[in-house]
Amino acid sequence: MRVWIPALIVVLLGVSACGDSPTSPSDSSATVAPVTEVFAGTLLTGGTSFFSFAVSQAGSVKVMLATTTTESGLPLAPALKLGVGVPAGLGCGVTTSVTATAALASQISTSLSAGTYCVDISDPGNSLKQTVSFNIRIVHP
Amino acid sequence: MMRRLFIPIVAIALLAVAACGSNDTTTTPTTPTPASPTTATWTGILPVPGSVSRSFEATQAGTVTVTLTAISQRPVAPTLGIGIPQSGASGCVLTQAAPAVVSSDPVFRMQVDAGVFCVKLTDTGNTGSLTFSVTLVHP
Repeated sequence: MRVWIPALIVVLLGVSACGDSPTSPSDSSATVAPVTEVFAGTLLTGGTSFFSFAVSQAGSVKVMLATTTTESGLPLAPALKLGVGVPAGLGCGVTTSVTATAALASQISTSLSAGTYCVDISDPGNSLKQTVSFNIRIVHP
Repeated sequence: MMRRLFIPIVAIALLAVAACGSNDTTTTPTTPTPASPTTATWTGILPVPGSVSRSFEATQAGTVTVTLTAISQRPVAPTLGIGIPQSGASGCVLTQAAPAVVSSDPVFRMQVDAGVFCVKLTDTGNTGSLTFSVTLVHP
């Protein structure tokens, strides 16, 4: 009869071990929600302007020159140089660039590792006939 | 006697443990399908001179069309624009603008990223209020 007690314990332990045992997810591969930032400013003829932003983890970065307007808000479509790079000295060391006009789809889409980067906009050809206001939308991890 | 009892009990225990397991069912992975475009109608009354705007969200990249389906007769055509919302007095900063003329063809047909955008109707060349109706189709 003494055998029953340990045997019963074995049965109970076996049954109680049933079921899913959830484990805590590891945070090492968690992805953060994308961050949207808007870089707004004005650009003079032949001018350059840049904006720094921090990427918290590796992922896709999209840069959209969304608007270029007169200072009174009238849309213009000048072709400007839009670039992405890393801050260097007092400026932005551009590593990727395109010639872009304002649009609602990103002109630059690239993968970046975590770190500090910058977006640069310029009028290298002195093509602007007047000062323009711009909005650049940046979506990054 | 003891062994006779012990063996079936251990067998039961092993069966009980063997019966453990999750109720997971195997599911077949599915490929995400693009969401159907959303159609929104924007109607209102615009005090003139002035402007009015509304925002909309594209849940994924795709094509946006903006069609002016009705507007009060005006000596000078108002302006319809599309752009991005901006906090502050600007409201909606325009990427493109065009005369607001009723047509079955869209005033704008543009590729957009996922995100929040806006449309804006402006009338500074007339007097009195106007009514309008704009149809937005976006992802």
